[in-house]
Amino acid sequence: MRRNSRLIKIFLSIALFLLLEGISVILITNNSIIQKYRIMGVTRSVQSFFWRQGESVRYFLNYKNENQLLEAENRLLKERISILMKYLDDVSTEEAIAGTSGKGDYTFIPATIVKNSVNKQHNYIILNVGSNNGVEEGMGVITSWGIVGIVEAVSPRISYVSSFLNTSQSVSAKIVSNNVFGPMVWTGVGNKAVVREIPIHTEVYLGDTISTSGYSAIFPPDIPIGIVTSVDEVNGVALELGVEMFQNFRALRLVDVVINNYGKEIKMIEDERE
Amino acid sequence: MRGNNNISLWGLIAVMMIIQIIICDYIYTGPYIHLTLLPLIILSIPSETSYPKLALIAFAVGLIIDLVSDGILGLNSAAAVMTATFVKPISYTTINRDRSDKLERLTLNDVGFFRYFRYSSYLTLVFLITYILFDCAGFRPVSFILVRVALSYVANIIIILFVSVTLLNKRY
Repeated sequence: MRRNSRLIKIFLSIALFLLLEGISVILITNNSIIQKYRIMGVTRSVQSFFWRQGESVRYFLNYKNENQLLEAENRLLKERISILMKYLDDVSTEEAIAGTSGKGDYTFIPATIVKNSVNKQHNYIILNVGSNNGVEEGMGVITSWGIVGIVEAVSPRISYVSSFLNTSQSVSAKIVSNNVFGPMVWTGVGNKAVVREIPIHTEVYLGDTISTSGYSAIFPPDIPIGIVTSVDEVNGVALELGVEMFQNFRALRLVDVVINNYGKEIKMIEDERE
Repeated sequence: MRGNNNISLWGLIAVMMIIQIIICDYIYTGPYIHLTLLPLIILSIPSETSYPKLALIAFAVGLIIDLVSDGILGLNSAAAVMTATFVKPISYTTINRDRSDKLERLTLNDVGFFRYFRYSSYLTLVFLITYILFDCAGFRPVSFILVRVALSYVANIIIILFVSVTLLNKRY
Protein backbone atom coordinates (compact mmCIF):
# COMPACT_ATOMS: atom_id res chain seq x y z
CA MET A 1 0.00 0.00 0.00
CA ARG A 2 2.81 2.36 1.02
CA ARG A 3 4.81 1.31 -2.01
CA ASN A 4 1.84 2.03 -4.27
CA SER A 5 1.36 5.52 -2.87
CA ARG A 6 5.10 6.18 -3.38
CA LEU A 7 4.84 5.05 -7.00
CA ILE A 8 1.82 7.31 -7.52
CA LYS A 9 3.78 10.22 -6.03
CA ILE A 10 6.71 9.57 -8.39
CA PHE A 11 4.38 9.29 -11.36
CA LEU A 12 2.60 12.55 -10.45
CA SER A 13 5.96 14.31 -9.97
CA ILE A 14 7.13 13.20 -13.43
CA ALA A 15 3.80 14.28 -14.93
CA LEU A 16 4.06 17.69 -13.24
CA PHE A 17 7.65 18.12 -14.43
CA LEU A 18 6.69 17.27 -18.01
CA LEU A 19 3.68 19.57 -17.85
CA LEU A 20 5.63 22.56 -16.55
CA GLU A 21 8.55 22.01 -18.95
CA GLY A 22 6.07 21.52 -21.78
CA ILE A 23 4.33 24.82 -21.00
CA SER A 24 7.72 26.56 -20.86
CA VAL A 25 8.81 25.12 -24.22
CA ILE A 26 5.50 26.15 -25.80
CA LEU A 27 5.98 29.66 -24.43
CA ILE A 28 9.54 29.76 -25.79
CA THR A 29 8.50 28.56 -29.25
CA ASN A 30 5.64 31.06 -29.39
CA ASN A 31 7.77 33.98 -28.31
CA SER A 32 10.99 33.54 -30.26
CA ILE A 33 11.18 32.70 -33.94
CA ILE A 34 14.76 31.39 -33.71
CA GLN A 35 13.93 29.04 -30.83
CA LYS A 36 10.72 28.04 -32.58
CA TYR A 37 12.52 26.87 -35.73
CA ARG A 38 15.28 25.23 -33.76
CA ILE A 39 12.89 23.29 -31.53
CA MET A 40 10.73 22.37 -34.53
CA GLY A 41 13.89 21.18 -36.31
CA VAL A 42 14.88 18.96 -33.38
CA THR A 43 11.31 17.65 -33.11
CA ARG A 44 11.20 16.86 -36.84
CA SER A 45 14.58 15.08 -36.77
CA VAL A 46 13.41 12.92 -33.84
CA GLN A 47 10.14 12.26 -35.67
CA SER A 48 11.92 11.37 -38.91
CA PHE A 49 14.18 8.94 -37.00
CA PHE A 50 11.11 7.08 -35.71
CA TRP A 51 9.43 7.28 -39.13
CA ARG A 52 12.48 5.71 -40.76
CA GLN A 53 12.61 2.91 -38.20
CA GLY A 54 8.89 2.28 -38.57
CA GLU A 55 9.22 2.33 -42.34
CA SER A 56 12.08 -0.21 -42.23
CA VAL A 57 9.92 -2.59 -40.19
CA ARG A 58 6.96 -2.07 -42.53
CA TYR A 59 9.22 -2.63 -45.55
CA PHE A 60 10.54 -5.87 -44.07
CA LEU A 61 7.01 -7.11 -43.39
CA ASN A 62 5.90 -6.12 -46.89
CA TYR A 63 8.63 -7.99 -48.79
CA LYS A 64 6.15 -10.49 -50.21
CA ASN A 65 3.77 -7.81 -51.52
CA GLU A 66 6.68 -5.76 -52.84
CA ASN A 67 8.00 -8.76 -54.79
CA GLN A 68 4.58 -9.48 -56.26
CA LEU A 69 4.28 -5.86 -57.40
CA LEU A 70 7.74 -5.94 -58.96
CA GLU A 71 6.96 -9.22 -60.74
CA ALA A 72 3.75 -7.75 -62.15
CA GLU A 73 5.58 -4.59 -63.22
CA ASN A 74 8.27 -6.68 -64.84
CA ARG A 75 5.66 -8.63 -66.78
CA LEU A 76 4.10 -5.39 -68.04
CA LEU A 77 7.50 -4.09 -69.15
CA LYS A 78 8.23 -7.34 -70.99
CA GLU A 79 4.92 -7.01 -72.82
CA ARG A 80 5.76 -3.44 -73.79
CA ILE A 81 9.22 -4.50 -74.98
CA SER A 82 7.71 -7.20 -77.19
CA ILE A 83 5.31 -4.63 -78.69
CA LEU A 84 8.19 -2.24 -79.33
CA MET A 85 10.35 -5.03 -80.80
CA LYS A 86 7.53 -5.84 -83.22
CA TYR A 87 7.35 -2.14 -84.12
CA LEU A 88 11.13 -2.00 -84.65
CA ASP A 89 10.98 -5.03 -86.95
CA ASP A 90 8.39 -3.27 -89.06
CA VAL A 91 10.27 0.03 -89.54
CA SER A 92 13.60 0.72 -91.17
CA THR A 93 16.77 1.25 -89.09
CA GLU A 94 16.90 4.97 -89.95
CA GLU A 95 13.30 5.47 -88.88
CA ALA A 96 13.90 3.54 -85.69
CA ILE A 97 16.97 5.63 -84.81
CA ALA A 98 15.10 8.84 -85.61
CA GLY A 99 12.18 7.65 -83.49
CA THR A 100 14.20 6.72 -80.42
CA SER A 101 16.84 9.44 -80.40
CA GLY A 102 16.49 12.53 -78.25
CA LYS A 103 14.96 13.02 -74.89
CA GLY A 104 11.53 11.63 -74.00
CA ASP A 105 8.71 13.79 -72.67
CA TYR A 106 9.21 12.62 -69.10
CA THR A 107 12.05 11.52 -66.88
CA PHE A 108 11.70 10.02 -63.43
CA ILE A 109 13.42 10.34 -60.07
CA PRO A 110 13.10 7.18 -57.97
CA ALA A 111 12.18 7.87 -54.36
CA THR A 112 11.31 6.05 -51.15
CA ILE A 113 8.45 7.07 -48.90
CA VAL A 114 9.58 8.06 -45.42
CA LYS A 115 6.14 8.95 -44.04
CA ASN A 116 2.71 8.24 -45.42
CA SER A 117 -0.61 9.24 -43.93
CA VAL A 118 -3.79 7.53 -45.18
CA ASN A 119 -6.33 8.07 -42.41
CA LYS A 120 -7.06 11.77 -42.82
CA GLN A 121 -9.15 13.77 -45.27
CA HIS A 122 -6.02 15.67 -46.35
CA ASN A 123 -3.27 13.07 -46.46
CA TYR A 124 0.38 13.71 -47.16
CA ILE A 125 3.53 11.79 -47.99
CA ILE A 126 7.16 12.56 -47.24
CA LEU A 127 9.82 11.39 -49.72
CA ASN A 128 13.53 10.87 -49.15
CA VAL A 129 14.46 13.04 -52.16
CA GLY A 130 14.53 16.81 -52.38
CA SER A 131 15.86 19.74 -54.34
CA ASN A 132 19.38 18.20 -54.22
CA ASN A 133 17.97 15.38 -56.37
CA GLY A 134 16.19 17.69 -58.80
CA VAL A 135 12.73 17.60 -57.25
CA GLU A 136 10.70 20.79 -57.60
CA GLU A 137 7.33 21.96 -56.36
CA GLY A 138 4.42 20.98 -58.60
CA MET A 139 5.95 17.72 -59.88
CA GLY A 140 3.77 14.62 -59.98
CA VAL A 141 4.49 11.41 -58.05
CA ILE A 142 3.46 8.07 -59.53
CA THR A 143 3.95 4.32 -59.40
CA SER A 144 3.21 1.75 -62.09
CA TRP A 145 -0.17 1.30 -60.42
CA GLY A 146 -1.37 4.85 -60.51
CA ILE A 147 -0.89 8.36 -59.34
CA VAL A 148 0.31 9.09 -55.83
CA GLY A 149 0.24 12.86 -55.46
CA ILE A 150 1.81 16.20 -56.24
CA VAL A 151 4.95 17.67 -54.65
CA GLU A 152 3.94 20.66 -52.56
CA ALA A 153 7.12 21.67 -50.75
CA VAL A 154 10.76 20.76 -51.17
CA SER A 155 13.77 21.02 -48.88
CA PRO A 156 17.29 19.98 -49.97
CA ARG A 157 16.80 16.37 -48.85
CA ILE A 158 13.08 15.71 -48.47
CA SER A 159 9.84 16.51 -50.28
CA TYR A 160 6.35 17.00 -48.94
CA VAL A 161 3.77 15.48 -51.25
CA SER A 162 0.08 16.23 -51.13
CA SER A 163 -1.31 12.71 -51.51
CA PHE A 164 -4.06 11.94 -54.04
CA LEU A 165 -5.96 10.78 -50.94
CA ASN A 166 -6.95 14.37 -50.48
CA THR A 167 -10.51 15.53 -50.98
CA SER A 168 -9.36 18.85 -52.45
CA GLN A 169 -7.10 17.38 -55.13
CA SER A 170 -8.16 16.36 -58.64
CA VAL A 171 -6.35 14.92 -61.64
CA SER A 172 -7.35 14.63 -65.25
CA ALA A 173 -8.35 11.01 -66.01
CA LYS A 174 -9.75 9.29 -69.10
CA ILE A 175 -11.67 6.16 -69.99
CA VAL A 176 -9.13 4.01 -71.86
CA SER A 177 -11.66 2.52 -74.29
CA ASN A 178 -12.87 5.85 -75.74
CA ASN A 179 -10.46 8.53 -74.46
CA VAL A 180 -13.26 10.58 -72.89
CA PHE A 181 -11.80 12.46 -69.96
CA GLY A 182 -12.85 14.28 -66.82
CA PRO A 183 -11.53 15.34 -63.42
CA MET A 184 -11.01 12.54 -60.94
CA VAL A 185 -11.17 13.11 -57.18
CA TRP A 186 -10.84 10.87 -54.14
CA THR A 187 -14.15 10.19 -52.39
CA GLY A 188 -12.58 10.34 -48.94
CA VAL A 189 -13.12 6.63 -48.33
CA GLY A 190 -10.54 3.86 -48.89
CA ASN A 191 -9.30 3.39 -52.45
CA LYS A 192 -12.39 4.83 -54.08
CA ALA A 193 -12.48 7.80 -56.44
CA VAL A 194 -14.96 9.37 -58.85
CA VAL A 195 -14.52 10.71 -62.37
CA ARG A 196 -16.89 13.61 -62.98
CA GLU A 197 -18.21 15.59 -65.92
CA ILE A 198 -18.31 12.64 -68.35
CA PRO A 199 -20.76 13.49 -71.18
CA ILE A 200 -24.05 11.64 -70.78
CA HIS A 201 -23.88 9.99 -74.21
CA THR A 202 -20.54 8.30 -73.44
CA GLU A 203 -20.50 4.52 -73.58
CA VAL A 204 -19.03 3.29 -70.33
CA TYR A 205 -19.11 -0.21 -68.93
CA LEU A 206 -18.38 -1.53 -65.48
CA GLY A 207 -14.81 -2.83 -65.45
CA ASP A 208 -13.52 -0.26 -67.97
CA THR A 209 -10.02 0.93 -67.18
CA ILE A 210 -9.37 4.52 -66.16
CA SER A 211 -5.93 6.03 -66.82
CA THR A 212 -4.28 9.43 -66.70
CA SER A 213 -5.25 11.62 -69.64
CA GLY A 214 -1.93 13.43 -70.04
CA TYR A 215 -3.83 16.73 -70.39
CA SER A 216 -1.92 18.21 -67.49
CA ALA A 217 1.80 18.88 -67.44
CA ILE A 218 2.10 16.97 -64.16
CA PHE A 219 1.36 13.32 -64.97
CA PRO A 220 2.32 11.31 -68.09
CA PRO A 221 -0.58 9.89 -70.10
CA ASP A 222 -1.83 6.29 -69.96
CA ILE A 223 -0.86 5.38 -66.42
CA PRO A 224 -3.57 2.96 -65.33
CA ILE A 225 -5.39 4.29 -62.28
CA GLY A 226 -8.30 1.95 -61.64
CA ILE A 227 -11.47 0.34 -62.96
CA VAL A 228 -15.02 1.63 -63.22
CA THR A 229 -17.22 0.15 -60.50
CA SER A 230 -20.34 2.28 -60.89
CA VAL A 231 -21.93 4.67 -63.38
CA ASP A 232 -24.36 7.32 -62.12
CA GLU A 233 -26.28 10.01 -63.95
CA VAL A 234 -25.95 13.48 -62.44
CA ASN A 235 -28.82 15.95 -63.05
CA GLY A 236 -29.45 14.33 -66.42
CA VAL A 237 -26.49 16.11 -68.04
CA ALA A 238 -23.38 14.16 -67.08
CA LEU A 239 -22.14 10.85 -65.79
CA GLU A 240 -20.19 10.25 -62.62
CA LEU A 241 -18.02 7.14 -62.62
CA GLY A 242 -17.13 5.35 -59.42
CA VAL A 243 -13.54 4.07 -59.63
CA GLU A 244 -11.71 1.46 -57.57
CA MET A 245 -8.06 2.49 -57.71
CA PHE A 246 -5.31 -0.07 -58.39
CA GLN A 247 -2.89 1.68 -56.09
CA ASN A 248 -2.95 0.46 -52.52
CA PHE A 249 -1.84 3.57 -50.65
CA ARG A 250 -1.25 1.64 -47.44
CA ALA A 251 1.39 -0.54 -49.10
CA LEU A 252 3.20 2.30 -50.85
CA ARG A 253 6.98 2.41 -50.54
CA LEU A 254 8.80 3.00 -53.82
CA VAL A 255 7.56 5.80 -56.09
CA ASP A 256 8.78 7.91 -59.01
CA VAL A 257 8.78 11.69 -59.13
CA VAL A 258 7.84 12.82 -62.63
CA ILE A 259 9.84 15.50 -64.42
CA ASN A 260 8.02 16.86 -67.44
CA ASN A 261 10.89 17.82 -69.75
CA TYR A 262 8.67 20.36 -71.48
CA GLY A 263 6.94 21.47 -68.29
CA LYS A 264 8.77 24.79 -68.09
CA GLU A 265 8.01 25.60 -71.74
CA ILE A 266 4.34 24.74 -71.23
CA LYS A 267 4.22 26.92 -68.12
CA MET A 268 5.95 29.78 -69.94
CA ILE A 269 3.45 29.69 -72.80
CA GLU A 270 0.52 29.44 -70.37
CA ASP A 271 1.84 32.45 -68.44
CA GLU A 272 2.28 34.44 -71.66
CA ARG A 273 -1.26 33.68 -72.76
CA GLU A 274 -2.64 34.77 -69.39
CA MET B 1 7.30 32.61 15.34
CA ARG B 2 7.92 30.24 12.47
CA GLY B 3 5.20 32.05 10.53
CA ASN B 4 7.12 35.29 10.92
CA ASN B 5 10.32 33.54 9.84
CA ASN B 6 8.58 32.30 6.71
CA ILE B 7 7.27 35.77 5.97
CA SER B 8 10.80 37.21 6.11
CA LEU B 9 12.12 34.36 3.95
CA TRP B 10 9.45 34.96 1.28
CA GLY B 11 10.20 38.68 1.59
CA LEU B 12 13.84 37.95 0.85
CA ILE B 13 12.80 35.82 -2.14
CA ALA B 14 10.64 38.69 -3.41
CA VAL B 15 13.59 41.08 -3.09
CA MET B 16 15.81 38.63 -5.00
CA MET B 17 13.16 38.44 -7.74
CA ILE B 18 13.12 42.24 -8.04
CA ILE B 19 16.94 42.28 -8.22
CA GLN B 20 16.79 39.57 -10.89
CA ILE B 21 14.33 41.64 -12.94
CA ILE B 22 16.64 44.65 -12.63
CA ILE B 23 19.60 42.48 -13.73
CA CYS B 24 17.64 41.22 -16.74
CA ASP B 25 16.47 44.66 -17.81
CA TYR B 26 19.29 47.04 -16.94
CA ILE B 27 22.56 45.18 -16.47
CA TYR B 28 24.28 44.06 -19.65
CA THR B 29 27.08 41.62 -18.93
CA GLY B 30 27.97 40.80 -22.53
CA PRO B 31 27.14 37.70 -24.55
CA TYR B 32 29.26 35.33 -22.47
CA ILE B 33 27.92 35.95 -18.96
CA HIS B 34 24.36 35.34 -17.87
CA LEU B 35 23.73 36.57 -14.34
CA THR B 36 20.87 34.95 -12.49
CA LEU B 37 19.57 34.76 -8.94
CA LEU B 38 17.03 32.05 -9.74
CA PRO B 39 19.20 29.13 -8.50
CA LEU B 40 19.70 31.11 -5.30
CA ILE B 41 15.94 31.64 -4.95
CA ILE B 42 15.38 27.89 -5.36
CA LEU B 43 18.19 27.16 -2.89
CA SER B 44 16.58 29.38 -0.29
CA ILE B 45 13.20 27.65 -0.38
CA PRO B 46 12.83 25.41 2.73
CA SER B 47 14.02 21.85 2.06
CA GLU B 48 10.85 20.40 3.61
CA THR B 49 8.88 21.75 0.64
CA SER B 50 7.48 18.86 -1.43
CA TYR B 51 8.55 18.49 -5.08
CA PRO B 52 5.19 19.51 -6.62
CA LYS B 53 5.11 22.65 -4.50
CA LEU B 54 8.78 23.43 -5.21
CA ALA B 55 8.32 22.89 -8.98
CA LEU B 56 5.23 25.11 -9.06
CA ILE B 57 6.99 27.86 -7.07
CA ALA B 58 10.04 27.65 -9.37
CA PHE B 59 7.80 27.77 -12.45
CA ALA B 60 5.84 30.75 -11.11
CA VAL B 61 8.97 32.68 -10.11
CA GLY B 62 10.62 31.97 -13.49
CA LEU B 63 7.48 32.97 -15.36
CA ILE B 64 7.09 36.22 -13.39
CA ILE B 65 10.70 37.14 -14.17
CA ASP B 66 10.15 36.25 -17.84
CA LEU B 67 6.95 38.30 -17.97
CA VAL B 68 8.32 41.38 -16.26
CA SER B 69 11.80 41.40 -17.79
CA ASP B 70 12.47 41.91 -21.46
CA GLY B 71 13.41 38.32 -22.34
CA ILE B 72 12.00 35.25 -24.05
CA LEU B 73 8.88 34.07 -22.24
CA GLY B 74 9.39 30.56 -20.83
CA LEU B 75 13.19 30.53 -20.75
CA ASN B 76 13.66 31.18 -17.02
CA SER B 77 10.67 29.03 -16.08
CA ALA B 78 12.03 26.05 -18.07
CA ALA B 79 15.44 26.32 -16.36
CA ALA B 80 13.89 26.93 -12.92
CA VAL B 81 11.65 23.84 -13.13
CA MET B 82 14.63 21.74 -14.23
CA THR B 83 16.67 23.06 -11.29
CA ALA B 84 13.83 22.40 -8.84
CA THR B 85 13.66 18.81 -10.10
CA PHE B 86 17.32 18.27 -9.23
CA VAL B 87 17.23 19.87 -5.75
CA LYS B 88 16.52 16.65 -3.83
CA PRO B 89 18.77 14.27 -5.83
CA ILE B 90 21.68 16.73 -5.64
CA SER B 91 21.19 17.41 -1.92
CA TYR B 92 21.10 13.65 -1.25
CA THR B 93 24.33 13.02 -3.15
CA THR B 94 26.32 16.06 -2.02
CA ILE B 95 25.17 16.36 1.59
CA ASN B 96 23.54 13.29 3.05
CA ARG B 97 20.00 12.00 2.81
CA ASP B 98 19.19 11.98 6.52
CA ARG B 99 20.82 15.29 7.19
CA SER B 100 19.25 17.12 4.27
CA ASP B 101 15.81 15.74 5.24
CA LYS B 102 16.23 16.84 8.86
CA LEU B 103 17.39 20.39 8.13
CA GLU B 104 14.67 22.98 7.62
CA ARG B 105 16.81 24.79 5.07
CA LEU B 106 20.29 23.95 3.79
CA THR B 107 22.59 26.77 4.85
CA LEU B 108 26.33 27.13 4.62
CA ASN B 109 26.68 26.98 8.43
CA ASP B 110 24.66 23.79 8.72
CA VAL B 111 26.35 21.68 6.04
CA GLY B 112 29.82 23.19 5.80
CA PHE B 113 31.43 25.27 3.08
CA PHE B 114 32.59 22.51 0.69
CA ARG B 115 29.34 20.57 0.78
CA TYR B 116 27.35 23.74 0.30
CA PHE B 117 29.68 24.81 -2.50
CA ARG B 118 29.22 21.47 -4.33
CA TYR B 119 25.46 21.54 -3.77
CA SER B 120 25.00 25.10 -5.04
CA SER B 121 27.49 24.53 -7.90
CA TYR B 122 25.59 21.56 -9.29
CA LEU B 123 22.25 23.34 -9.05
CA THR B 124 23.67 26.45 -10.71
CA LEU B 125 25.12 24.31 -13.50
CA VAL B 126 21.77 22.56 -14.05
CA PHE B 127 20.09 25.94 -14.32
CA LEU B 128 22.72 27.47 -16.61
CA ILE B 129 22.98 24.46 -18.93
CA THR B 130 19.19 24.33 -19.37
CA TYR B 131 18.89 28.08 -19.83
CA ILE B 132 21.81 28.43 -22.24
CA LEU B 133 20.82 25.36 -24.29
CA PHE B 134 17.29 26.69 -24.79
CA ASP B 135 18.72 30.11 -25.54
CA CYS B 136 21.54 29.20 -27.94
CA ALA B 137 21.53 25.55 -29.05
CA GLY B 138 21.44 25.13 -32.79
CA PHE B 139 22.50 28.60 -33.83
CA ARG B 140 25.58 29.16 -31.67
CA PRO B 141 28.71 27.00 -31.86
CA VAL B 142 29.35 24.45 -29.11
CA SER B 143 32.51 26.33 -28.10
CA PHE B 144 30.44 29.49 -27.48
CA ILE B 145 27.94 27.54 -25.39
CA LEU B 146 30.69 25.92 -23.30
CA VAL B 147 32.48 29.23 -22.69
CA ARG B 148 29.18 30.89 -21.80
CA VAL B 149 28.29 28.13 -19.32
CA ALA B 150 31.77 28.25 -17.75
CA LEU B 151 31.96 32.05 -17.39
CA SER B 152 28.35 32.34 -16.23
CA TYR B 153 28.98 29.61 -13.66
CA VAL B 154 32.02 31.44 -12.23
CA ALA B 155 30.17 34.75 -12.05
CA ASN B 156 27.04 33.25 -10.51
CA ILE B 157 28.71 30.99 -7.97
CA ILE B 158 30.59 33.99 -6.56
CA ILE B 159 27.31 35.87 -6.14
CA ILE B 160 25.54 32.80 -4.68
CA LEU B 161 28.28 32.18 -2.13
CA PHE B 162 28.39 35.86 -1.21
CA VAL B 163 24.61 36.07 -0.68
CA SER B 164 24.61 32.71 1.11
CA VAL B 165 27.25 33.91 3.58
CA THR B 166 25.73 37.32 4.17
CA LEU B 167 21.95 36.82 3.94
CA LEU B 168 20.92 33.18 3.70
CA ASN B 169 23.17 31.97 6.50
CA LYS B 170 20.77 33.43 9.05
CA ARG B 171 17.76 31.63 10.46
CA TYR B 172 14.62 33.09 8.98
